[in-house]
Amino acid sequence: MISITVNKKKIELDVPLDMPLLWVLRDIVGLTGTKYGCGIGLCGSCTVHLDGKAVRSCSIPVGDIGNREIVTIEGVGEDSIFQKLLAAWKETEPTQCGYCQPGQIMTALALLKENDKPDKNEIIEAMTGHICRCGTYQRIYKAIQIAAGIMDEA
Amino acid sequence: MKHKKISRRVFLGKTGALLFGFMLPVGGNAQNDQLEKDSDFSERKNKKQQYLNAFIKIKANNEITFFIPDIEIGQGILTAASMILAEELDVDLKSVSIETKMIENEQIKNMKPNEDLNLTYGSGSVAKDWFPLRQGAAELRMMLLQTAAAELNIDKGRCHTENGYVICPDNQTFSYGMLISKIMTLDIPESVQFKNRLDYKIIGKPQPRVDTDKKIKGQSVYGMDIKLSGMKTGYIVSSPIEGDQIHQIDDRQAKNIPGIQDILKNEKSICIIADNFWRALKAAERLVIKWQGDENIQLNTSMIYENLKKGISKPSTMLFHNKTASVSVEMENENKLFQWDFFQSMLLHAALEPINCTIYFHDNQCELWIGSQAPSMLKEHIAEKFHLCKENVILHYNEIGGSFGRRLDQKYILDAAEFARQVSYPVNFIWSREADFQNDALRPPYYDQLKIGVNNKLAITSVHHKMMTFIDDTDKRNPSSPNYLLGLDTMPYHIHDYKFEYSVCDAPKLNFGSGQGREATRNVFVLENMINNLALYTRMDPIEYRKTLGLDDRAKAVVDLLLQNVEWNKFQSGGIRQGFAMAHVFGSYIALIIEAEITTSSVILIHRADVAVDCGFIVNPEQVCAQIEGSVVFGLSDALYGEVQIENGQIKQRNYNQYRVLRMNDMPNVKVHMVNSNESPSGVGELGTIVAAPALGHALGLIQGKFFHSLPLAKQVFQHK
Repeated sequence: MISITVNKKKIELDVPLDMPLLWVLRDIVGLTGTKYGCGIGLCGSCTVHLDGKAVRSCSIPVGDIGNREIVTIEGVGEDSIFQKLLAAWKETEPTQCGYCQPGQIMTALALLKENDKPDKNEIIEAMTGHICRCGTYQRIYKAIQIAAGIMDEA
Repeated sequence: MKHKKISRRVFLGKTGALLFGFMLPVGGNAQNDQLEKDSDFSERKNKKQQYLNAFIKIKANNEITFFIPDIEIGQGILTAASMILAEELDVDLKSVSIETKMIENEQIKNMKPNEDLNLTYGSGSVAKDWFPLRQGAAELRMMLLQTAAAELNIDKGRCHTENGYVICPDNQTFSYGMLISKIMTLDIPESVQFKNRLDYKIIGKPQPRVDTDKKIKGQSVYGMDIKLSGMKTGYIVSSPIEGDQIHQIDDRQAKNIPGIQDILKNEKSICIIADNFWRALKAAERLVIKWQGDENIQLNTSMIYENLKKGISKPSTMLFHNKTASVSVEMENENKLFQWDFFQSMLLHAALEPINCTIYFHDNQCELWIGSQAPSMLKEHIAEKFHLCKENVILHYNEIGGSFGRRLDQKYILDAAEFARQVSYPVNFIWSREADFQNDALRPPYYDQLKIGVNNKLAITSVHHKMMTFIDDTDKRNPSSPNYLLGLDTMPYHIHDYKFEYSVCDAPKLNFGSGQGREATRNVFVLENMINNLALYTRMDPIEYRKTLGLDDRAKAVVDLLLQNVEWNKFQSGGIRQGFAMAHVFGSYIALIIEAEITTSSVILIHRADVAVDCGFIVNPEQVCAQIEGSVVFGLSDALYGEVQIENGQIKQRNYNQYRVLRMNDMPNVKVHMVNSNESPSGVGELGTIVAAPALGHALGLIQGKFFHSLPLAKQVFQHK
């Protein structure tokens, strides 16, 4: 038995220690907002926060989590920066199929929490780990700028 | 007749809602099924009553539900189709519930029998819905007006509708729900008056997508997120070599993994059923499988291209001859003859959500939870394969994580159903990313040969276009416009004596499917390359050169709009250049200018993509923009990097590290300019993809002083270096 803290709730689990956090969240805890896209940390759809840092849950064995706090897309609803991102996301409408979007938002949220006025390169550096096949990068970029209160370029 | 009306009221009383035509309430149970059968289909069919109204359900409490026949794959069709219905019915878009629902042809007036309203492909959803959805909603609105007027015994011209209410003189108002129980005594109007476009309150105004909130909060249910009581996870292991069969399996190690429920087998695959995906995957790794070994193991990429090349000497079928010149000049007599060969690589769809489906056989029924672009065909295939009545194949729709043609493929669902039938519980089948790539229905490789005759002024006198293909794909649904001619028979130019024929070559044993932009992507790459190439020989500006080829008015307007917004010919030499391409396809016109750079350290940068589009009357402007932006990005990924290689009979690329796609750091600034058009709405979703490769190839070619007749581009740029 191990215990992890997900969205401020402590959860006791009887799972193999090498089971990736992604599958623990989706199949054991039942939080399906975190998505499976590639399984090897290349696409970003499975991004969650571990002590506030954006990580790829597909590539972290649950046994390595220890007492670090896990936050998923389901656990950020009250966060004021998430609310700003949500509003900005509705303004620029990057969502098409939507599959990558929770992961993108988790990275954007971690970025803005650490750096409230990221410059162009900082946004791109943070977000380049994500794949969106619908090609919505431009709108995501703009949404992050709006959420951060930056409006620099045309 | 009277009797029938009574039975309908009974029906109403039981369900509490009026279901126009033969709509079932979603999640319809057996009792409702029976009621539906009771309400005399044949008689209403004669009266055409069943045509009203498959798209709309109104409850007595004025709750309104829209049933949308199209599959939402990110293109925003749930929003656009709902806008059309809400506008013509005159209700607040925000107050309606929206559901995806299969709608049979006989429920819709004026549907051509071979048309499939539920098939989502070819950028066709809005164009396909534009008439039937407006018709359905307008008929209903007219009948609501008529019912209200009858209640007050006044002329219906004295009433009007407003946001779900009929407003009559002296401030008497009826909610639609209040009128609904009386409406069934009316006949469907023979003809309806659509709203005047100038009066539109919803259509043509940017409307927020109806699915954004749930999607970004992670609350949308995609195929992998489905939870059913007693459900298990299935993982299917099949040979990476198409056609290979199992010789021997040792599953003792796999069985030792806790949580393994069943290990099922057929001659070509093994299905591990476990309590979760991770355990199924772990067990799969421990399977020791001896495959029989198929001759397909010899197959590699170069053999596939060799086979295509052999098509040049094979007999061919003529499909198109645009003989606008009165005299066709024989090739041999022409002043000069160019011969150019075009190769385009095999592609993966690489949709972000790996394929999956949930299937539950019970009580002689097959229930499926799927993300399929072709649900009605799937229903038929399942019914046929398992000898079920179509009514006993029940489809549920879930959210789809991208498709681009991937989910036209049904093989994986049919394969999974074979296993699902062997067990008594629902199974959520999930493919790993690697298995998704390994089993993808590949966009086939393309080889086209052009012979272009020109006169002494280098003007085109004739073009002989030969296409080599593995599939004899004359589109059976629409034989007059074969897939092969997409983007070609509607080319925006008047080229005299354009002759198109195709040869079918010996196909390798691979699973081929449909790619983004279908054959238009192929044809437009060939055609636009030819035009850009010829412009260079004539030392003419490529856009001016196109104008000499007789662009029609809509094409000209699109080009002019683009030129008003872009500084064309900004760069005459050096490491940054602009490339141009245009197309007329799916009823729409698009023109694209790409500004790209090859840096001194051989990095390809795409700075800008400016697009002008005329897609007819625009239903949801912001989403048209988003679709164009996204499809340009998709096309640029394919153009630069998209390439599947086959080694030892298998797809070599198994994850995104081997199959590069554009990311935010590669992202150009995409600007979309839209023509204000009054034509009927036409296709949008794939337009950007169709023109991306020739425009980018043009720009990169100008930088390197050559023409790229093959795709993908990036490796050729680096080879040059």
